[in-house]
Amino acid sequence: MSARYDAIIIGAGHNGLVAAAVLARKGKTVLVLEARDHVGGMLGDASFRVAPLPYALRPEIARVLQLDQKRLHGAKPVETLAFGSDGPPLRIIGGHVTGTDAITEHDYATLHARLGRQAQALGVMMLQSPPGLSKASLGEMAGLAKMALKMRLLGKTEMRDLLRIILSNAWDLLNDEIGDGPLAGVLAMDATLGGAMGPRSPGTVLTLLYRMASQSTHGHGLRVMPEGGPGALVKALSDCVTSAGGEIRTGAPVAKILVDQDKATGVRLQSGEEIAAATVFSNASPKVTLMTLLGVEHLDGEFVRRCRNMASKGMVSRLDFDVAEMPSLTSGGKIEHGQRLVFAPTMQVIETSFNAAKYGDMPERPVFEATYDATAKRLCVSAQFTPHDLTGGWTDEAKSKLANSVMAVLEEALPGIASAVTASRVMSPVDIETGYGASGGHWHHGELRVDQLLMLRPFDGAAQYRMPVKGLYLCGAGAHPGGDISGAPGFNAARTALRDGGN
Amino acid sequence: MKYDAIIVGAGHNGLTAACFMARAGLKTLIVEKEDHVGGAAVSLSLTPGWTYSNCSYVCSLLRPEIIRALELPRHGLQVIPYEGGAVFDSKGDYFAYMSDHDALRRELIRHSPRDADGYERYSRAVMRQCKFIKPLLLRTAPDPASMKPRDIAELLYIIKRFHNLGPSEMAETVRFWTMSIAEYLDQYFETPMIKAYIAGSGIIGTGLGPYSPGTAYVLLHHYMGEVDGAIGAWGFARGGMGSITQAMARSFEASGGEIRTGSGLDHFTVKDGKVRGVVLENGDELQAETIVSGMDVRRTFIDHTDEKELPQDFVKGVKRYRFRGSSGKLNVALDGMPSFNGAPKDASFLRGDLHFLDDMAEIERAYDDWKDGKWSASPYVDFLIPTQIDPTMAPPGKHYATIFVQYAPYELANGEWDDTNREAFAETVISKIERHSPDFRKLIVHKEIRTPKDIEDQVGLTEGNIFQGELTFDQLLFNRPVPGYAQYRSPIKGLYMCGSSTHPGGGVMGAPGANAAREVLSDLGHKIDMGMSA
Amino acid sequence: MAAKAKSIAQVAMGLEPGPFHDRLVDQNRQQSWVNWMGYASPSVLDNVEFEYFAIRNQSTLFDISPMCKYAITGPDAETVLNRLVTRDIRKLKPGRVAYCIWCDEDGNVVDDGTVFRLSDTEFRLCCQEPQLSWLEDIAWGFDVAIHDVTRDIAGLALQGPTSCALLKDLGLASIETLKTFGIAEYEISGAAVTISRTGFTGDLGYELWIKPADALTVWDALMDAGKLRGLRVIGYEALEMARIEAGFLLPKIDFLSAQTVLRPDRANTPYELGFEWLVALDKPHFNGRRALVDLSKQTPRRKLVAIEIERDKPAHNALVYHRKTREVGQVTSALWSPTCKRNIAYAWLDAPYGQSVTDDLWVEIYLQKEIRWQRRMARCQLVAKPFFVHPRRSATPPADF
Repeated sequence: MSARYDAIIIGAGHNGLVAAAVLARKGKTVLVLEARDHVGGMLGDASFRVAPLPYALRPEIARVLQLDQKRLHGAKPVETLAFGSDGPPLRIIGGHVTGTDAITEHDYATLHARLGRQAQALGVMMLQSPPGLSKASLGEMAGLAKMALKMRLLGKTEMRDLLRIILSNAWDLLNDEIGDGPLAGVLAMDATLGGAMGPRSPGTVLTLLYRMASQSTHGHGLRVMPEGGPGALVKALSDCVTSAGGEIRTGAPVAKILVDQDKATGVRLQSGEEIAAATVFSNASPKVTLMTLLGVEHLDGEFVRRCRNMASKGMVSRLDFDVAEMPSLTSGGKIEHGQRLVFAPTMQVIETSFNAAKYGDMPERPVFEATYDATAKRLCVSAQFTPHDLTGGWTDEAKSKLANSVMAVLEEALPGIASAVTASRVMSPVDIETGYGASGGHWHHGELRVDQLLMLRPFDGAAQYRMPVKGLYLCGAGAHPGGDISGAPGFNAARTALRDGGN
Repeated sequence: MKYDAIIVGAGHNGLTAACFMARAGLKTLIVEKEDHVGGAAVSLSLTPGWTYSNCSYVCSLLRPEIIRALELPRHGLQVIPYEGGAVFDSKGDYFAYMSDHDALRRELIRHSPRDADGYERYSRAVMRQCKFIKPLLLRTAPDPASMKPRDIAELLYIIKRFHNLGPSEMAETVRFWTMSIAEYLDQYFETPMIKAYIAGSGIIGTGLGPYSPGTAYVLLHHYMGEVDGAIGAWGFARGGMGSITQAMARSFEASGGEIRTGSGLDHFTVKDGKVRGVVLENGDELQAETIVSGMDVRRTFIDHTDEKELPQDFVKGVKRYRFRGSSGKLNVALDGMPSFNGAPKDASFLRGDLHFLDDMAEIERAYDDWKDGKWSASPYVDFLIPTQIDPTMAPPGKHYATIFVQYAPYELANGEWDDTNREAFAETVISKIERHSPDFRKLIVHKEIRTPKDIEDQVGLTEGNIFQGELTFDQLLFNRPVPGYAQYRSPIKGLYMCGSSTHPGGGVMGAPGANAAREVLSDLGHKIDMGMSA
Repeated sequence: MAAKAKSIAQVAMGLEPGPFHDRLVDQNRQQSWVNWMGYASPSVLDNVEFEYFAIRNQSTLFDISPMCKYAITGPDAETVLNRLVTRDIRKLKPGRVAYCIWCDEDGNVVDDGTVFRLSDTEFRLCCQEPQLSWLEDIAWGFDVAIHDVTRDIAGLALQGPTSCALLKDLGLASIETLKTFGIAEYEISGAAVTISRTGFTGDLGYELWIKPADALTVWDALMDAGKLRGLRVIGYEALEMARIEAGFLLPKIDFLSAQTVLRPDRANTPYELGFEWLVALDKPHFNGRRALVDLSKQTPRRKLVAIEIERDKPAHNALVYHRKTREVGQVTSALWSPTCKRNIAYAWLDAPYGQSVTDDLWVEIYLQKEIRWQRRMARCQLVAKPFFVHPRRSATPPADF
């Protein structure tokens, strides 16, 4: 069969859309295939979003795609309300915190700025293809060299500090610098949310730095609430694809990636329809892409073993509560649209709830963040440490138990909220897994850990976006640099393919 | 009195450093607070007829290069290998680790043929890592922030070695150094007991659980001995761990060194940023322009040095340096040989390390207790009866058991380490052992209980951390003990560190002492030939 | 407190007796044993030369039970085997055996062995090293069952010119029609025996596969029938001589499994081992295929070659030199072949030696003469394998002697 498209992109998540947009703008004929009836992947649609309060798309990508960054990052920065065990919540925007003492304010600002600098140095790698382990190209090595230089430029003290903390845990760092409490709780949530590590787990400084490396027009390490909600970001991306001539088909689940002579030649839809293409990109998780869509028959045994061993145990459940009327805070005042509420009063509480999850149990007191969508009158909760492999399984009972324990915590801060709820919905990590092609229901398609980063992301032999079968590329969060809404994996994958194609 | 060099603390690292310096012809003095040498490698008699290895209890990592260079066998050191080891589960079965390869294979097959195969793969994977890391132990860690030719050359040496591993092995190395021991072992094994047996060694002395990332690399300890080509690298020192330090002390004295016990340090005298000597607790002043401290970094610089003499960032780094002891110990005199559920009476594997565990989660839960400031309700126990092999430590027919207990916090969340809590801690351990060894309790003749607090008070290990500070990445290699001061030198000229607070860290390895001596001697312009080739 | 548990016997240290051990003990007059996968395997029973000549002249019995054996069964068994080995296993018909190698993802040889196709969906793999995890990795995602049957099947190699006659004497109907690499089912003294015409000697011979419970019955029947056919029990050393002559390589001696090496450059590709004839690059994807495609286009960085050395002193552990000065390789197996009267060996030679440069090669032999060692440089040249070939190996039907 002759290639009808230059590229097929499986999955219209933000990374798939970014990859499609980059390719389409280079004049490639592109078809995006989405299983669901709407585009956006985890950004979702009006009915449900896995990621209701995203991190910002990398500014470089927004620039290349000529997106309106100002609008996408919202008119004002997202404010975080950190709820302690009592008293009014701390209010945090970037490095600025109010509601605590002057010393803590200062220490926090210093720490935030320092982590920001260190994160920027590491962030150089975000838009670079990671170097190969055996034969790295000059360009790839240049990326690493640039990062090393950036680290040197931090100065001796800060570089040493970075090398000391980089594999360390958030617990020690935050205890050293700002002490435990709701403020440390917020940073520890940044470090752990979406992953399967507690604040005491070594490696959580790295995940914190990863989040700190995100860039919006309001600063670094911030969530963004686009004007018009996350849907606006989805629309901007899909418009970018279509205006460059790309096609998007929803309700078109892919059954198989077609291979001939060790080369990807297109896809077969679940409907049986076969579509030919010169290259195929998959925005699904590495496990789904390789083991389900491609098939292990095309892969070596050791490669499959590494793929199976990839850590991707999802820990986050998403709960939506539709409320008739949002009650006032115990401490006075109202929740505003787009605010981020964090219920992690101390790192100790986060660690304790992680304890249960290690053994597949539901924590007694979940830690979570929530954002209020005033337009939909919906409180969207991301509850951490609700394990994918829950003992006894994710029954309706387990889900309502989780909803109740979340509600109990909310009720303390927002008395009366329980009775104001008109409808609720619980998406467990298992639901997220089945609904979004994300193995283990993991936000990042795979744990963000040193052994699964850079040239080891998603695992060695599959890094650098190129899969063993020629013409097949991985463009989702499972690829370098990883998850959240950076768009970097999709962007890098598309550029890698363009280079392979001689562009 | 004036000496060329004074070493503070007669622990194994202080002694090692002192031996090398005396051998280089320096007039060297060791001052030791206790009335005996040994630090945490001692053999003491607390009840007539019995000798305990009171603190450290196994001779695992003592570098063969050091044993050879200091002629320790000539000075009385003899190491007897373990014959095996075992873990007993709550269902009455056991997994025996046998030193005989074929027997081990059959024992593995008894539990799972897949694990027998997995064990071969696992052993080779760890051996490959050992081969990579072994030469680095007796080298000074380079400072990556430094532009000195030596640091850059050393860094390039490591990078080159790393690159020579080839792509898949490089990936494996990163995994090995950053993964949790639990996840690492899950790649190779399916039997919970087998994983638990191997995982135990990954958490001994640490403030981490087997599920914590960064615990896998401790598996090196299991294989380092085999890579050394020295059979019996895992073994008992005949006569207890004190034999090691006794042999070192004799080696030191044979080279003309002098040891003063019962001479606690009051402070270092410093003038113009240079160390001039020490003042002892008894008021004696001793002079030397080279002083090497075997104490941990906090004791050395916070307790015994005038803070004014030190740069701020260094003091901050030292104060931040983490100890957090996590281990306790029981030394028990036994009236006879205890029996163990399921095990044949004369089983050879009893002459090794014994554990009582079902799975790795049990160790992790023990760790969770420690995080909350409690001793583990079901602790991980490393239980050995050296008197089965070593006839010198108990009267004939009687036995001595060394019981290492993980985890016990330095500070209890509820209460103090008073006698009631110490006894309750011991009772937790004894009743756990009793579930697997019904006659154990009634055989107890005498016991010594050592909580982290006791270890601090009696041995001088801050917060009872047996490694003189946690072995997490932020405190390893060029970060140990403080970034920028990881090459045994301190901000004060002439004052060096040689304890386990320095690279490569704890265990009765002697490497920090040997490395420190090498740095001292090179600063003094001595030709560096310590009879060691890495 | 847990109930007092029953004592579980400690597994025995040292070597394990195999299924024929009771008989081997009687025969082993030298009391010399070697460790073969934890089993006691005889190295020499009485006299290695007589044992060797029995292989070439009469018939011999050698216990091959310690071989690792795996049953691979199920609808996807053929697919999995084809994914494992480098040959095209689809061409292997039921009732046939194929010698195969398998490779890791880098194209290095993991092990070699024989694949028995017992039916469309049933295979058996015999090899030297344990392969359970490897097989399970290869089979992951396929509808196939893999069982380690090493301990469920005893094996005997019956090798030598009179072996067919011996089996005929036992009443094995039309055994003479069994072709090389064929498999057939028989009964000996009421015990079911699977017989394959395979072996490691390069001579006429069979391998017999039996339930361990029947092992001694079959042994006794063979020994009894063997009285007329000069049957001799042999040990590892005699077999080793025959296998070198026959051109077979032995893992752990001539090459190392890629799974067992500690140094990454010690693994070997099929092209280095001279196994290119076993690699079918044109079949569907199999393990290591992409790496092998690349390797097939390159010059191997070294090559295992067969050499013949002047004079008669075997070149054990010798280094190989070019022009007597430059070290270019080393010998892995060496033998003064009693049948061929040739001084033969296998050697690794670094490229270009053994490939584009083949002349002026020397081996350095150390000879002990009355406790004094002498060094001798002996000229060697590349020759073709095998050193020993005889038409009776593959003649069907074979002659009686």
